Amino acid sequence: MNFPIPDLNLSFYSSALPIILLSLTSIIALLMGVSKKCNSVKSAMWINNLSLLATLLMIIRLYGISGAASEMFLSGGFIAGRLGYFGQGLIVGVALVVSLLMGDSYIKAKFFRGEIIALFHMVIAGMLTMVATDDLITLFVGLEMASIGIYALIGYTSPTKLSQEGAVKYFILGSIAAAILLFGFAFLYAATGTLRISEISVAIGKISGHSWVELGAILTIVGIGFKMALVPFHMWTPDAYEGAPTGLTAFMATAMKTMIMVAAIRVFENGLSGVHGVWVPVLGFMAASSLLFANILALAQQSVKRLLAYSSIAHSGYMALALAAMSGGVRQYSVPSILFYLISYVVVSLGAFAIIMWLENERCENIIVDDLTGLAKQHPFAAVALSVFMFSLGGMPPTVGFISKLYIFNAALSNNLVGLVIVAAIGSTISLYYYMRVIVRMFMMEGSPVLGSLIKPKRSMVTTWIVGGSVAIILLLGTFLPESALRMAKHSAAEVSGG
Amino acid sequence: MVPVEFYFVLACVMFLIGLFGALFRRNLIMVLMSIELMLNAVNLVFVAAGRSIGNVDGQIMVLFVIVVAACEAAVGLAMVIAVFRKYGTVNTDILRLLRG
Repeated sequence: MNFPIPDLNLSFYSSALPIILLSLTSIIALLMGVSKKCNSVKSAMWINNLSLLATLLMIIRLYGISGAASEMFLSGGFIAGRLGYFGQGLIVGVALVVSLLMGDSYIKAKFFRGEIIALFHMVIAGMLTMVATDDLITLFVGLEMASIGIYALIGYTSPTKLSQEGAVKYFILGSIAAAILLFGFAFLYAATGTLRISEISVAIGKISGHSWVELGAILTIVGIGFKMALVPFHMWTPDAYEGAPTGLTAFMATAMKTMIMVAAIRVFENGLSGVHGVWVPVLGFMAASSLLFANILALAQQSVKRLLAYSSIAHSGYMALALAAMSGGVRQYSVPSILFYLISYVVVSLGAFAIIMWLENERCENIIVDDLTGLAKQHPFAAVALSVFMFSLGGMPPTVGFISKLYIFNAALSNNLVGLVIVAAIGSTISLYYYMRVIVRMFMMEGSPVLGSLIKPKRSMVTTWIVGGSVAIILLLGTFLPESALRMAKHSAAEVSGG
Repeated sequence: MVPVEFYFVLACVMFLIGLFGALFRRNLIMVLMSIELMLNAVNLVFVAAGRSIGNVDGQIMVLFVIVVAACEAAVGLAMVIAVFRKYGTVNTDILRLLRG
């Protein structure tokens, strides 16, 4: 047996520079936290925002110069390709927006501490590793870097009873999920003899009918479904989302979802498409039950964060629907539709969470739907923006939520998943009720002190810009420009779906 | 030589014991131990498979899994301590603020 020396040349360092930079800033932030001179909220904020901005620009540049074919380094440990850079760009963009919002929130002094920023950057570095790898070892290490860091961030940023409870529940179920995923990887390895995703698909072709592969595929889809928060395995999501500080909730709902979806695309499209007869029914079942049960459970929610958590489970269901369509006969629609859905979901959620964070600043606690009563009178701009977000989450035209659902349904229908699409349509009809409830509260009800209409947060430039920006993107992508975003999604998907 | 399938079956049994322990035990320390048991079942499959295939990838993965399990245990125990300081017990039944 010979061990090839990895090819660590300049082009590897330049294409992995975002991950390297974030690992370095993580260490710098940690050292700043223990030094007497530089330990201040301001310096932590500067190093965080500057390094994230630099990383984002770097990723955009790398996305621009990378061609249609991807390049492998470290014998599959790192892939420099458009799909990876797409996911990385989305994740770092989310991290930047979340840090800007945190900088304007009541939790600012707690979040911008050396050790928290160090954890935050490690989490992002883990996410960036996970979306750009062909190797199950690296994928698992990246996943755990992200997950373990997030458990600690939730419990440690502002240790209240709520956040600790959310962290413990998330930790237990997240660790079980990681173990199940890993057990699946172990059986895939046992059956195929390799841990490279691309080699697994080759090996599966040779040994068809091996029951250990099928067990491995089922365990893998269950583990991914746990992390994606699909319905039989969704129990942690509302608790973790409600317990966490709202900025971290926004980060988890968007960046974690991007990471898991991109990794799932790689594992299932590149690796396990040979045994799709085994995992597609499981995934289809999870998608259908998420679409129905998450929307039904969301009807009864009072807390806005909990409502958005159930809505995020339902949105995972839509993406799982497209993932299930991936191994049918018509393959070229499903990956671009997932990526487009990710863009739309990330923009909408960030906007909605930005408004919630801004409203929370006044109160320093979770807000419930009743708190929004009469918001349209006091803050017409915020109320209109929140209605746009709710319309988009519910999938009404002329917002991007409509177009992205259309693409998902198109991908599913072109692979004859008619039953799942009907379930999805029923689910999205149910979901309109609770999205509309928020809008009705804001516009059609008079505020009274009993219901808590006294929220009068002060103006915030950052929130205004971010909310305005997301409204603009939602409306533009929903009307004039969906083509350009779809083209980007198609370019990024070319790496796995071959066109 | 023992057939490799025997190891897999043993690992499945260990994994299920760990899974049921993690889901149904009420004590947080026991839950953590059950999660470790699940990860050890995974390690057993990796080592047995790597040995039978004649490939070191499985053993390398085991090293990574051990490292990650240690990190998980560190964070998990820190959380258990935090819960114990707030509530004076490590029983999961007291974690009932978030529900619905």
